[in-house]
Amino acid sequence: MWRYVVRRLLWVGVVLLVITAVTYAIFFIMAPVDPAILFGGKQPTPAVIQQIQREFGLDKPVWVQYGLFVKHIFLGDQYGWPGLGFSFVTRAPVRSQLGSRLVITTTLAVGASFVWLLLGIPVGVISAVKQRSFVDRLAMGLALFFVSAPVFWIGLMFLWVFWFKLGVAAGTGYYGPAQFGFFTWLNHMIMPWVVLALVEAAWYARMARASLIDTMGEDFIRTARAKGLSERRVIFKHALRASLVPMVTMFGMDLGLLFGGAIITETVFNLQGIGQWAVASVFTGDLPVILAVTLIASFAITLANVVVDICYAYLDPRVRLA
Amino acid sequence: MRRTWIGTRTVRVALVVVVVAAILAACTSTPPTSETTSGAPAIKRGGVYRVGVSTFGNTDGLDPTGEYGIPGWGVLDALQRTLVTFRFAPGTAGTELVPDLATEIPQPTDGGLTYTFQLKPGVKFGAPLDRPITSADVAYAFERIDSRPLVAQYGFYFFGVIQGMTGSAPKPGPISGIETPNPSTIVFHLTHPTGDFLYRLTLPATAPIPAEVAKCFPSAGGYGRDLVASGPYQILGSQAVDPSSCSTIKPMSGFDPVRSLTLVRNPSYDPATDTDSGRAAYVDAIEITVDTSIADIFEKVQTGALDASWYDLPPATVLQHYLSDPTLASRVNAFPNGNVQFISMNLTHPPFDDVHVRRAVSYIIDKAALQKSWSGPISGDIATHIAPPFIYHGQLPNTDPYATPGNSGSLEKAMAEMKLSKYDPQQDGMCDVAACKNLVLVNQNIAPWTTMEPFVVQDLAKIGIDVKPRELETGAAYNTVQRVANDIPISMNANWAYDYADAYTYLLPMFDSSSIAASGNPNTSLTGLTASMAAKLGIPYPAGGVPSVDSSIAECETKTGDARATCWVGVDQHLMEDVVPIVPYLWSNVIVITGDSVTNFEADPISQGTTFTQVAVSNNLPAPG
Amino acid sequence: MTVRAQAEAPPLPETLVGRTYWRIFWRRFMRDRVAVGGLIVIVTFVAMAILAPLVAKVVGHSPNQLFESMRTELGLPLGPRAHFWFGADQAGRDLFVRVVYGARTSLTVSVVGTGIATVIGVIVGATAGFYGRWLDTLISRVIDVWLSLPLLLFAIGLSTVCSASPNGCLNGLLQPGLSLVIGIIALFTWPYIARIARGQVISLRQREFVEAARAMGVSDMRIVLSELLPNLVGPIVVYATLTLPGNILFEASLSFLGVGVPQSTPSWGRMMADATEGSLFTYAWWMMVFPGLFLLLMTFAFYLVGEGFREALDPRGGVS
Repeated sequence: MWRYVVRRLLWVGVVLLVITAVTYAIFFIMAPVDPAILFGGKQPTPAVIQQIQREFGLDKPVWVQYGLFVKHIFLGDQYGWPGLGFSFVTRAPVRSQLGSRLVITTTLAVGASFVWLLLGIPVGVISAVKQRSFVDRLAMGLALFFVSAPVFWIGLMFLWVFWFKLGVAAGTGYYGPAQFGFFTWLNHMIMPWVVLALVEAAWYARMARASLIDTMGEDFIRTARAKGLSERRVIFKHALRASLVPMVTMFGMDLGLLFGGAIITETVFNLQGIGQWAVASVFTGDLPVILAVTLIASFAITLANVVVDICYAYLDPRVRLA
Repeated sequence: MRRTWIGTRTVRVALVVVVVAAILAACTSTPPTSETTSGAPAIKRGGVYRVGVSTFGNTDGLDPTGEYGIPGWGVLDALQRTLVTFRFAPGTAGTELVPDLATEIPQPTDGGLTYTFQLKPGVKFGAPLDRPITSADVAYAFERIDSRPLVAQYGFYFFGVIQGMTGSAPKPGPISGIETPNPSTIVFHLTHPTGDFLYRLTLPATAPIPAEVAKCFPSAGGYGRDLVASGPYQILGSQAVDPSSCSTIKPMSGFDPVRSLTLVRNPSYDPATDTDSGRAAYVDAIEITVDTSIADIFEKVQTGALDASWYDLPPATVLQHYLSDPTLASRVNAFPNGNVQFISMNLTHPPFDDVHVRRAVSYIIDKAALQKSWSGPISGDIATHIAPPFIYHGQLPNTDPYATPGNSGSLEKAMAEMKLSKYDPQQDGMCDVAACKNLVLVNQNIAPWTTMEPFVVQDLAKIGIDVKPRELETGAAYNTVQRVANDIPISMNANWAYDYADAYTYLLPMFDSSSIAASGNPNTSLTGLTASMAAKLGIPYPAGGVPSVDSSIAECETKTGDARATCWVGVDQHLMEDVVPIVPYLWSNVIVITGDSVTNFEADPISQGTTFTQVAVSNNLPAPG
Repeated sequence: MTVRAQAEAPPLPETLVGRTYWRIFWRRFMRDRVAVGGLIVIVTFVAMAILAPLVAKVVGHSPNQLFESMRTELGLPLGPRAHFWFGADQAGRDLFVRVVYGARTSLTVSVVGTGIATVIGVIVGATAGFYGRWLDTLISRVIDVWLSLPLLLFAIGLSTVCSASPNGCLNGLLQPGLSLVIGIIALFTWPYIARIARGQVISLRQREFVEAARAMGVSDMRIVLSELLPNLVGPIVVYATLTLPGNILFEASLSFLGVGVPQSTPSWGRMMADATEGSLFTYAWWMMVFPGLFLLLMTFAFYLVGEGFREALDPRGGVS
């Protein structure tokens, strides 16, 4: 078991190295914006550009720069550990901006995942139990609706209706609880949570339903029924647990993905999270930020993968038996 | 080329807050009349002026030596004093050069080569130094400009102008052309007479800088986090800085380069030493918060969470909200800021190597539709030549060599021009050759540029020019157009404003061959390009050559006063009529929305925003810290 | 989105290829009234896309025609009215005509993008599954890493770079606009298809008829082409149909983030992005509502048809 965990974690390290190297190469070779020129202001003379390149270390060969990047990740740089460098655009250490971004993205991800689990799984279970009933058809129809609609469209419609027309919800932007108070914060987070969660909940409801129906056909359920257990007990004690296993995989992956930033939700609701940062830095050619965000996002995804695989071994009775 | 969000500012000219109603009524042609609020008696002092902005857009982290961004200059204005300045006053009073740190404005001696300034006594640096400012501190500012690692972006105003300044010093060190015989005297020796030298001494990089703090920041940008104030305000948390050694200097708490900047009163500032400039310093503190959503900024101004916007243009929906309500209309403050918006044509790239094609383009563009895409007349006057009229002190009235009815373009006149060109062999008024097909048109990917794009595409198609628009992020668009080797035929992303109120700061960078550079080239039309330069840059050179205005610019630069303005007018008209490198379409305004807490608002047209020392609020908020 | 579709991958066909196989499939599908409804909607959309120029002719407005009379003094667009059923956009263009044309972009991008991805995915996945061993390990690892790459960021960077150079990228192969968006979608989608194809091939490889063919000394190429591929068609078609609506949404999202097709090519995502510029939608609601509804209807219909295909292929399956 431990050897397995160690091997998987080593693989995470390899993947991260490959990903950052590819990212580095791509954005270095095809830098959409030359940061040195961008920084040169209104009339960047060649001397100014050269000086800025030297200052940013852009005059060194790519592999030297990448080597330094890796070294700084492990050993830290002048701004501390892990060394993520200096943003070309804001002229501030990347680390100093990372904290608040992560807080917002985590707030969004965790809050939304609560909403979608609480919404998606019960709906899916009810649908499965009352298969082919009116409730089932309505729930699955709605689920398909939210799966089909673009997230940004749902977000904008919600903003238009609930904020602009009815005035019952707060508008866009992130309002930290420490500065603006708990209720202002909550008020501004509810819509992003719900919008992001609706789409996810739709997938989870469909998954939960399909998975539960599948499980109900398995032998061990037949055995449980044969033992004379009540239908309620069969569903909640036996079937549900087994049918949730694939959901755990999906949930882990989704949460991992979300820590890399929900780009569109963050954009629509003007939340200054990781995703919005990533897009902004690509547009402005802010290489250190692109790399930092890539590193965080891929770390979250690959780590989630590992955690999911390990949990799987514990959760799935079939895996344990084997 | 000036970016909308990274740009420059300057001189304190014609501080006119044009009340919206006046603009709408007077429409486009009349010069802005002033109806200012500062004449009202007894403006209440105190309170906090809170503004939101989508990005600081600092190009050098607020380090005065290198900072070349609009927001940066606006802030430095409140933090620093220079030897001379333009009076902080609305209307024509604001065009007057007045002494600030200097006791008086000196007359140049030595045939215009020597300028000697006496410093006022009793002027002190703010926290944490609280010591008198000496001539050595002013000289140190120039030493920083001269030092290469500090990347003084507009050092070219001094290199080769002040003796011994070349911009190549490895670190700040004595400059042969600057003498400080005693702590209150500073002498500048120039290499050649420069008519606008005193204007250049209003630039923020020339404000005094204390060596004991600034020496701790040997590379660009760092000093901005620990800027020691000489003006009426200082950065919050200045007192907490321990200047005893470089290792104890920590960034001031009031400045977070990505989120906010808070300025509070500088206790070392003595208004008795500042009687000439007209600085009022009404508010107790200025709080600037970054909010990347422009919509949110205006929402907050509306709810009162902010007192005003800063330099972000309000979207049309916001303008609609304010202008449709007579009680709110007065909160929309629009004023010209010297910005000229234009379409640039590459003089070396067919079909734009033919002046008739360029004239045809000038005739066909529907400037009225472009102005409407910017929210109509409130967003600025339709441009009829290059630099806005106030730059020429009224010497160039709105003459338009390409006048069309309603400024909507004229197919007839455009076709007549096209027929004269070599690209219209069929003589049908349409460009018929392959050179007019598939031309890349570089554009920005945000409104109003995206809104204007279909109009430009449609207009050009009318005379047979088929363009392929490429929408790029603002910075990427500039990068692309300013890289000569990309050989972009036509672009509509650019605008230009000035560093101080002289046409030199438009015409030299935009049209002189000396500004052409392989990358970061502000002369996108390549006016004045020679065959040898083209070979070096790796682009084809047209058989017919490229017109040049180098000699006229050089001639005007030596002149002063009215003769100088007249000379610039000649260059502008020559460019518009005979060279036609660009189609200027709008002298855009800055539009600031203020909340009802703002009791006095003045906007410096050149800082593209708000004159922080002159605003007043009634919110009675306590100053932080 | 694609991640999810993969999780719901269709099982192997029960029946092997035969003349009646597709007929059975089709009969099952036609019994599903909801799915048939979806198919009718899709056919309508395809017809709309093909006949868009005719619609423009009937209405009398072309998609890029500018109507200054449809903008206020402040440059704001005017809403729905006679002759402008869906109102105008920020440049005064007829939104109805543009929305009709938008079906073309959505269908082209998603169908071609998914098609390219399917071809690449099947080739790569079948190779890995058929040869196994180190090749399988290598391909699987590449896919793992590929899926962890920040592809969306690459896409944004790529589109910026390709727009910056006058000739696009890769010597003009990738021009900003349609071809770039199609390329991005293919880059995103192929690994999922490859995984499905690999799984199917691995389980098919062990079936008797393949073993038999092997024993008879049939060449690898022949086995793949004549034995494996026909059996792959069903699940791959179903999977591709389920991926398609995700890719329609993906195109819209790319356009929304400003990495999509140029303005002159009407796209629903781009129209909605225009509506958000300066919160324009709070005033010009029509710029968001109409393109959004059409997009929603099209993806919804594709999902219904995809579900129908899946059930027809495997009637035991769950979701109705």
